[in-house]
Amino acid sequence: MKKITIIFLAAVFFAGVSSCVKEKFTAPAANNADPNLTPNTTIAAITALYTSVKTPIQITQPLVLEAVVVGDDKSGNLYKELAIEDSTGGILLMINGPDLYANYPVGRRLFIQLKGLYVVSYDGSYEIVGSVNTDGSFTGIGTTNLSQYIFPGQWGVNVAPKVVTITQLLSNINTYQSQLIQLNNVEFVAGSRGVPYANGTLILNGSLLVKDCNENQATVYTSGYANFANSLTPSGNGSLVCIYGVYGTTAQLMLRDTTDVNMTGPTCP
Amino acid sequence: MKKILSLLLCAISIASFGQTATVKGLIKDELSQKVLDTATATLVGTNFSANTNADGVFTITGVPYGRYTIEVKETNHATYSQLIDVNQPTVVVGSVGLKISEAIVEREDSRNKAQVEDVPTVTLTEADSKDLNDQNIASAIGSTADIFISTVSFVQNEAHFRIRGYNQGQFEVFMNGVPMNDLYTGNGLTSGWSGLNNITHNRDITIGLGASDNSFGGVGGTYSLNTSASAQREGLTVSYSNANRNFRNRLMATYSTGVLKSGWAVTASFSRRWADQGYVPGTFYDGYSYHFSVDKHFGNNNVLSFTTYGAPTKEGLASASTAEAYNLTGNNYYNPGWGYQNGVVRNAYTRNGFQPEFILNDHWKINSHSNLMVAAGFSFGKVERTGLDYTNAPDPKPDYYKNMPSYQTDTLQQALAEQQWRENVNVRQLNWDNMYAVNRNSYNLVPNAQGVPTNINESLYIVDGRVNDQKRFNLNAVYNNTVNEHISVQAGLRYQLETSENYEKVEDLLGGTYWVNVNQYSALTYPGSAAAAQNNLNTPFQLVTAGQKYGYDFITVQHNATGWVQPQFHFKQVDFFVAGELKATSYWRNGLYKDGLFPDSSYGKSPAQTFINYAFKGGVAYNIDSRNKLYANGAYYTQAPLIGDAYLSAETREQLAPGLRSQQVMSGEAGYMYKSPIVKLRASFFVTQINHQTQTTSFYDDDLSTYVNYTLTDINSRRLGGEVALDAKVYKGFSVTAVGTLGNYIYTSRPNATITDDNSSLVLASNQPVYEKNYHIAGSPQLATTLGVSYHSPQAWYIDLYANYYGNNWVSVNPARLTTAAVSGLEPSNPLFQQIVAQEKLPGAFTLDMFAGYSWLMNNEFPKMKKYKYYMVFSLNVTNMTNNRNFITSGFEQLSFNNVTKSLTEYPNKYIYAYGTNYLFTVAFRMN
Repeated sequence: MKKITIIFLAAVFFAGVSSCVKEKFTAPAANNADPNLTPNTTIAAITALYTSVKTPIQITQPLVLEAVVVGDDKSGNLYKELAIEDSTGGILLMINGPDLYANYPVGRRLFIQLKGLYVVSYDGSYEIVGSVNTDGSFTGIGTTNLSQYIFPGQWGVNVAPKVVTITQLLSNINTYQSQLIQLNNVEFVAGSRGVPYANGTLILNGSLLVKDCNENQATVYTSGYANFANSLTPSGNGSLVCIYGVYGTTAQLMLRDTTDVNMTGPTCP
Repeated sequence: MKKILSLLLCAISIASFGQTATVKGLIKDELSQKVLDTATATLVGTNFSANTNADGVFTITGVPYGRYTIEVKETNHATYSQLIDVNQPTVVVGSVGLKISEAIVEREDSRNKAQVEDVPTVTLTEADSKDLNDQNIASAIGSTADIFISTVSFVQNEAHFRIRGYNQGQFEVFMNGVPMNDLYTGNGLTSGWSGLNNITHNRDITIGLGASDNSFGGVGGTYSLNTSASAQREGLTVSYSNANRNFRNRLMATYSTGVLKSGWAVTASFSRRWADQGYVPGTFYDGYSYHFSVDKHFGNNNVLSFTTYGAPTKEGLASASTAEAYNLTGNNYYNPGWGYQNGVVRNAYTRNGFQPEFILNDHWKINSHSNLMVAAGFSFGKVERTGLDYTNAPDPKPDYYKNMPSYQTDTLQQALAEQQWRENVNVRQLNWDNMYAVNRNSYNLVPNAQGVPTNINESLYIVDGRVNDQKRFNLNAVYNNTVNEHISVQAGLRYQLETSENYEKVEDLLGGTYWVNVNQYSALTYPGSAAAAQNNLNTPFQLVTAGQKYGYDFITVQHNATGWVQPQFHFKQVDFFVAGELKATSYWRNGLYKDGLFPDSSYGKSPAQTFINYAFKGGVAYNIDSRNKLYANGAYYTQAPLIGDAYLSAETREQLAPGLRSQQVMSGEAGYMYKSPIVKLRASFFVTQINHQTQTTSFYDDDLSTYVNYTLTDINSRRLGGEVALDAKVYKGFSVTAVGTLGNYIYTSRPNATITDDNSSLVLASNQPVYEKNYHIAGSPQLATTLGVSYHSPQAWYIDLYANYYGNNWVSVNPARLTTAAVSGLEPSNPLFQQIVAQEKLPGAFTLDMFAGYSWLMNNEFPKMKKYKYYMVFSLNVTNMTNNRNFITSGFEQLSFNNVTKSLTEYPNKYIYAYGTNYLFTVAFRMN
């Protein structure tokens, strides 16, 4: 009898001692490395695939593209798209979801397995999309499927804008597509100074003109959803960093943020 | 046998004198001192026999003078026998206390799970559904002599069956005389004594509108526990349980001294429950409970009692999900709330609470016919529910509709997404490692104290905690006077004070350095307005770290004063009572944050809201004879709106629900009872109408990208139904039980909705009618039936089998779908119109349950043990023996609806399934 009782109580005691429920978690190790993938194509090469047929083309080969994010959706001016760039050019990567900058901010290197994706042109702007719908419209890659296509690598890769002139942009509107560019010594035209970039209250897009001192002009296009839409344009002359875009035959300058604008100098005479 | 025979002979010989007498007695349960109205007294060897009446009194008339052995039997108690001399016209056996029979004790012990976690339940996360979220009172009640209540609490609780469709707030709960309903939500605070099964068997339950000696009572009834040391059996109990439910293991130990000669009594109880993973993947359980009580008897007339208890518990919760997610994973217990972090399972949704209670209680027997109970209770402590918060980052929830395959329009992308769901655990579950990576690389410009934008490392994903920090003080006095054999009066006075601070805090920054205390949603609505974006204008752009408060912070204070009186009248055939209650309620909000959107109505103390409420009830019982009884009760209440429903958005401001007023509750019930030593039957009908109810719900609306507050006023509802409970002893140890409820619980009005959101100061809609008239109230099957067979062996083992069918259960409706805005532009003939407004009926379900136990009296094997009785007790409960894993116990429409797209795939219904086959096995050592 004593034995039974002692064994039972000892078992109970042992169970009690071993009853620790572990709910402490260690943070995963920080990792800033590239995935083990070897790129075998370039933006220029896949753009050429499209231009050779002029119709949406699905990549069927195991192509791997290496590119760096130069424009993200943090301010809301870009939406459901990222501007990515390699040494051969730039292109828009379409993803069907918001807040892409959290995972793919400016300066993150991406390795993209293109097989299954499409290269298309949307009003002259080259894009990588997830699907081509029956009505001919395009849909970005579904967020659930991102890990199938996009293998993100290092964060914080330095992205230097290409310094160009408005004249260079307009000479061939496709040369700098979806690339990060910098215009120096430019200013907003008289009617576009000190006004909101767009209407963030009524959500109306804004198109404002900048010019150089030779009166060459380009359009600064701002989405009504951009968080700086209600901010006022500067009245001075200086530099402007932006994503260069194409809409039909129009050149569009897309600001990533107002910190891209540094126009405080004296205006053109 | 010889003795009885000789007595018998003796009795017969004396009987020849020809004089007769009346033998009377009062039969009580020895421990609880409650009268037993189902006992039978027999004079051994004669045909003289009588049942006890409702007051526990038996009367045997025409007994010839002589010496007899009187034997008293009651199903749940050990047989009592005593020699009596019948030698005068009236012989009173006195007050006979029956001890609960050992076999029954074990059955009670194993079934006495007055604890919600013994019964398989899914703990929902708070965002899921307010309708379904409050605990079911039945799960907290446990076993009683009433076959209906026992069956409902043990068996039918698996289906989340609610007595008469009531939520917990409709029951008044008392612990050692102290009221235990949380004034903020109305719910009974039964989780405070969860795990303390050994000391919670002494309780007094009134279901419905009958008179309770403890309080006026809620429309659902009264549930009153007595855990004081004097109410505990002397002895030691140590047990271990193994289960596959919310917990896997449980240890319990209790020691009670009984009442010592010195007048002291002490009881101490401890319990530990744990599971690294419960039945649902990703859940865990880590709970302790303790209870300590000491009593001092001053003479025979006064008992002073001190009790303290608490249950520090942390658990990982299960979250409900959609049919698509259940189908994709092939698992109806799929839980989207967890994911791997560094290869270890981590659940984002946890509940962590500890609210210790301290009770001082005095029972004073003033004289032979009156007594006074005074109790004071104090408790304090926090309950925190964690979740994920994120700012300007993709929704991390795997079953968010944009992360589901059904959101993909392209068939290839859809097929790929389905494959991802099946094969990639980081898609199917939370991806913690990715949240860390995002946070570590997220930089943002935030104005510092001087207003200069400064680059900081800002977490985009955090684990947040929503904390409720309460202090409750209660004072309760109940006076009971038995004026004469016909009249008794109960009266009580009560004062309650509850302060409740609610705030949000950062629990884990997940690799980032700061979280910014701004309202990301209003920042979107008012771009460029730094003031509007502030959660707290007193600390703009505050950078918070782990452990610090953010989001919202406010205190509610509530005072209640209640007085009630209840005269009861007892006559030979008719008993009746009336009761009245008067209650004064005052509450206010005290904001600790000055909200950027509501700078003038968020900070500081709001005006007090005061309500004077009254209630009446009465009832009559007609005893046709000692076996048949008819009864009817009725009640009318006015009840102050709960503070949790009174404000449009208590988190941000003091603005009240429009036309805030008390609700009206009218209820009636009538029934028939039959009671013989063989058969017990109760059949009753009830109807309850609740008018002018106010309810406030908050939820995240994806289309508006903000929290939306939905206040409904003038909600009317009716609960109508019938209940039957039958218990028949068929043959020797065999008995049969049949319990069923059929109800019709519906809304009877078109309430008005006031809709506000947390990212603007505008009222989105007011006085918007919600066409929910005749829709069903969700949260419980409205048809619940149980057929049980049990066998109780004289060899101290038993087995009970129950077959159950549940039906008439509906999902809870989203009021936004029952508005003209939701169906605007659609003809009623349009199938989409019908789909938007239709209320889904859940399929019925069949289950089979078993309870079995054996109690081994070890003294028989070890004759040297004399001092105590020693037992090893084994019990096993297996629920859902047919492993029905397709039994949906509840479902709800998500509270978002896009009036423009009218999409039903964006926010599909979510469902909760009953556990498949699950068990609880207990081995207990007992010494007493």
